[in-house]
Amino acid sequence: MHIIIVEDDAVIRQELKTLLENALYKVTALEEFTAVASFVLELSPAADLVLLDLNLPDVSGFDICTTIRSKSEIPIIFVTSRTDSMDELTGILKGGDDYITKPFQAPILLARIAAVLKRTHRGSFKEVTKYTCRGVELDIAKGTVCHKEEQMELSKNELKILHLLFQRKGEIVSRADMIEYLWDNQVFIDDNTLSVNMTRIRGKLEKIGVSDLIETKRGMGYRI
Amino acid sequence: MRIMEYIRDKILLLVLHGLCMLLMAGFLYATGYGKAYCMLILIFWILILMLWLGCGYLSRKRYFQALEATLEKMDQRYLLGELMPVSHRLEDRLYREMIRMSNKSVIERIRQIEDEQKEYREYIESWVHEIKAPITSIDLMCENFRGRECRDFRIQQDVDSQLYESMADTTIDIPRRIRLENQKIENYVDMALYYARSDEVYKDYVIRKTDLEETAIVVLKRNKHYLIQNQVQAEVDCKDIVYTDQKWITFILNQLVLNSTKYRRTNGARIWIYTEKHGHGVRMIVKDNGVGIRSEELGRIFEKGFTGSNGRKTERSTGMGLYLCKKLCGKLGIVLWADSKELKGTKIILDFPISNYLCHHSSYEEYPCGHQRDWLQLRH
Repeated sequence: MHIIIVEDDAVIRQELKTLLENALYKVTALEEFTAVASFVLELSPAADLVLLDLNLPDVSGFDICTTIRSKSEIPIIFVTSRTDSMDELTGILKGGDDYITKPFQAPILLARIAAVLKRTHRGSFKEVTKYTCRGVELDIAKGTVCHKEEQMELSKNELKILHLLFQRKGEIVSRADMIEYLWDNQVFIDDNTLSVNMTRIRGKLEKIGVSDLIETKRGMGYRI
Repeated sequence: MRIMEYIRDKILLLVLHGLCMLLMAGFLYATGYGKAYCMLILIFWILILMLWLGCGYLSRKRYFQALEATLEKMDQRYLLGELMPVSHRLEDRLYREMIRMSNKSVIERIRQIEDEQKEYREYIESWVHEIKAPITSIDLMCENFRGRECRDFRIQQDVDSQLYESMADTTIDIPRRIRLENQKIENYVDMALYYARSDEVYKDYVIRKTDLEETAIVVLKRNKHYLIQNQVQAEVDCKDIVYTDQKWITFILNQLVLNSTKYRRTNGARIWIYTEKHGHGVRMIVKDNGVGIRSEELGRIFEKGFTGSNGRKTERSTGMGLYLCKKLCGKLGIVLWADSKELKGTKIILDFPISNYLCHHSSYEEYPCGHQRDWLQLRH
């Protein structure tokens, strides 16, 4: 997935690039804004998404968007520090796919990018719904965990915790990271509740015959 | 203006007339006129004087009544000079000229202050937009730093746990702590922006179908660092849909969540955000199990600058948050009120109106600016 960043603030541009590269996107950050639209249109193979700032030196993001839209259906997300409702409306009316105001939080930006990409590439995207590790299978769609023939239903919170651990197999996931991940996924719990959930997960895993899947690193976190 | 007042005002003139009458009567009597003649002259004199005074009184009375009526009808009373009824009297004309001059300077002064205020407000708005760029950069830097350095570090298999713990205190947690502070800055900056805008809400809102569940989730996610650090749990259950401005309601909700966190209990703090149907409208409730508000202070929490005993006890409180919320709710047609028991918790309740117009025409999901006022007027 190739994303083009159009942002005039050098620091934000650099950090956005790093952020998106860490999220495994291919990133081009423009530093000249005189011919953004033609650059985007002439790029081949075409990029998959444009992150467009509204306040650029000499040109307006709206104009760029209009020019791009006249020839291409490439997804455009506006990123701006303007919080005016009218600006947002204009952005959407000019053909923007989403409108994010600064300061945004990285997970939210990534989620919105993913959502727009998913919408435009319907079908070509395949979400992973099954993870396996040492004979234990986690099925996100069904919300279950299986080992050999045995199966166990998981609650929403337990599923999300296991999902995170399976995604970062081999890494130590700190409790703080875990809680933040859960908050990003609509589970607003505190440290104590996390402990309770971890104990429950361990209990459920033991019932299906898995005893040492989750390793506790004292003072550091958990690891599968 | 009453007749007695008018006569009292003319007392000098009357005394002068009285004296003249005495002198005249004395003089005539001394020069040999009969008593009857003197009396007749005096009576005529008095009659003419009374007639003159009466006419004067009536014309003055009519003039001032007209003036008062104009003043009564006027929206901006300092514009009186321009609308004063025309009078042929010299004094009236002089006064009118002076009042006009004085009013002119008042108007100029008001214009000047309005301009200054507008400039200042615009400056605050542009400043807020500028400050958001560095805030964004800091946040992204922290996110990237965490992604880069810490993950590398953590992947190493045989890290000594004690070493890690000391690292966790220093290096690894620093980005998180910076982001927490950064989030606070963002909240304060937002408050300044919304305060600057609060008088001109009508210029910047779009009433549309708003999913309160989504709004609540956005607010909680936004403040996750602060809430997690303070060991707060939250639950969201907002199934109802309302018609309001998303951005303003997000700001209001943000303030309420921050308040609930600020005045939390030490152990097991929780926040519930939920909605329920209420008459024709929807009611949104932000409930916490925090320290609560004293009953004698409950009525004053929405006042500007009110901090109360809680505000002084815990973190610094500006007394602006709830005041702003109340003000904005007023502009959006939301009724905001609170219910609280000291030491048990607080409920902040937002009553959203649902107008019949919108109920019958629910196919219109979004309203461009022009319709907002109609909508607000409908419910008043």
